Amino acid sequence: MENKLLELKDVRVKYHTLDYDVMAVNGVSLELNKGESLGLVGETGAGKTTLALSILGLLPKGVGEVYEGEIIFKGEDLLQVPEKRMRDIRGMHISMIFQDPMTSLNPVYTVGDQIAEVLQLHGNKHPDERVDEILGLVGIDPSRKVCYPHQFSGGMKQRIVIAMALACEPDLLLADEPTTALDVTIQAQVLAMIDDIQKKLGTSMILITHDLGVVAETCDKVAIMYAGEIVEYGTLHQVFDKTRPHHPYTVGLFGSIPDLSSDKRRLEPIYGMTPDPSDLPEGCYFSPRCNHCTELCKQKGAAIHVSEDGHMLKCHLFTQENKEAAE
Amino acid sequence: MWRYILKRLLWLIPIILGVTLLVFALMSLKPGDPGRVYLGLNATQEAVDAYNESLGLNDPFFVRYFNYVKGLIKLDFGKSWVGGESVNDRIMSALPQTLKVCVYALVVAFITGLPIGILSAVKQYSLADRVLTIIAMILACIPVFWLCNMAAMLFTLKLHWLPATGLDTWKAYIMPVIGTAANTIGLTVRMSRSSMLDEMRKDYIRTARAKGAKEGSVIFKHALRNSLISVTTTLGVNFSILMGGTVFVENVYAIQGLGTCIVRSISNNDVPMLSGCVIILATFSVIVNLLVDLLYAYLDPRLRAKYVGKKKVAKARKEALNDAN
Repeated sequence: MENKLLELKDVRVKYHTLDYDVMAVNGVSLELNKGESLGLVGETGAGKTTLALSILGLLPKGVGEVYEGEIIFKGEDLLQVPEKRMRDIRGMHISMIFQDPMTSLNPVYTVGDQIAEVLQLHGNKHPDERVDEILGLVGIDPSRKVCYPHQFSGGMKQRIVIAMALACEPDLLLADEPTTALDVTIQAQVLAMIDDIQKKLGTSMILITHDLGVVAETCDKVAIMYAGEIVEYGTLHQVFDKTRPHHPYTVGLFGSIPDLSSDKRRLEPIYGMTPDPSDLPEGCYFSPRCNHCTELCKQKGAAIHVSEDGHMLKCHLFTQENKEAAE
Repeated sequence: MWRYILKRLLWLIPIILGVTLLVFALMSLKPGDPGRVYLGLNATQEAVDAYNESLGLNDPFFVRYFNYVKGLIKLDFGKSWVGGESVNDRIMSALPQTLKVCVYALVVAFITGLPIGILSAVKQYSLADRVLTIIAMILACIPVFWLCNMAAMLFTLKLHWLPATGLDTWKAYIMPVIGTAANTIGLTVRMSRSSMLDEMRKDYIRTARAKGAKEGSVIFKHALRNSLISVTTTLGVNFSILMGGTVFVENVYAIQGLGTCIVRSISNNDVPMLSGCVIILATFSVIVNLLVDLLYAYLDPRLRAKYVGKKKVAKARKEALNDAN
């Protein structure tokens, strides 16, 4: 396909500690086309942020390591390119919005300077005009570029972080829970703004979140992540369509959201905790918490099952092997 | 901002009163006799008593203190009890020596300590980091008088490289300055290392990297500027420690500075001289700390707002608005 922007092939990441390795990402494969947005959903500790940092090559040095797989961006394997080329890509072609706007801005420089920095780093010698333009785009008066981060509210800081990420019109935007630190009204504004700008600039986006509501509003495709694996992957309609078969984990996630149209008094949460990534369970990682767990699940991780229209599930419930074992 | 400076300078008054009261109280507890010290062992008891009476030593404690403070208001530090030399003159000749050594020592401590601290932090857990950290720890806890004596033995008596007394040539400065700075170098290394490590872990560093900034720019432009804020706060305290340290250093190297003067006045029971020197040290300590606080506000925009009037901020915004249009 011509317009394929990013492709991850079986990416595996681990963090080294003194005593053991933490397996943060365990074989993630996905594809993203130009202009598309993908929602990456999962619990805390599922490896979502780690995956995003791996794409940018920003895993903590000496601690985090992509030990297997390929990250192909516009035909280049980002794991192989030299650091200098990687610096050109960061900010220019791929940029990231971090989770906490309060701490992601440097307190001692004005926001104008911080936005100008990314432009200067990528060859714009006179960034002033562009700084004003991009601040206007995120709805902040350009006259406030002389202000320091502490002079802004949380929502405004997040807009500035977004402005910074979009200043060079990157091809890919990694948004790591861009609205988690904000209150609900501001959340809606910021999301609408991201959506708007993304459509305007034709940017592809990976939106990391644990909020399925946010995904429903902004994404075209959804990947559900659990313990460093993608357990379900499909278009927004495929994943949100309750009549289709789903991974038990996805079912659990949806069961944890209050539904205004039903009369149920209680939610149906997923019991238990995400497994310790330094000590993953045998077989399917979700098996200890799964209602449909079989003997096979406890012994062997499930193969990937892709339906005819591209809806991917990684669960024994849908594999041939399981059906044979049942017979 | 001027209001703030004035407010801080006004604080000097209670500080000086407190310091002099303390000096007077401590010295009145110390046995000794200025008349005897000045006139020598052969003088008659009558002469000694008469001398002491003429100094007003037989007045009650608070009368003596009050008379001294009366002089202070006119910036007159009085006369030495031993020899009648004017304390003001003495301080004027001793202060430059002490200040030179202290300021050089502070500069040396800062320009050696800071880069070493940064290097240690950037190369955390490397061999260089370990070695430098250990050296810094030794420097921070080494006793100054011991270090000075050892240095004098090695570089003067054995190797004949450096003079051991006075401040006549630039070579003579080397040992006193380094001796005074030793502790502060160690402290500065440790302080800048830890604050640099703190900053390198912050989210905005990740943001800078995500922008595509070079590692050098990440360290020097982003992390260093922030860690300087906390290193600067220690500067003021360090300067006070340095001034205290000169008491030892000046005595070892026979420098006619405030430190030597203080030690001699204590053994002579020369209260006006001692008190004058201590007041000067206290004043400089206050002034340097004030300067450090102002520098701090310059480095940290969050504090700057406190000193800079609202008008200035509004003006800057207005200018930017005009630029934008």
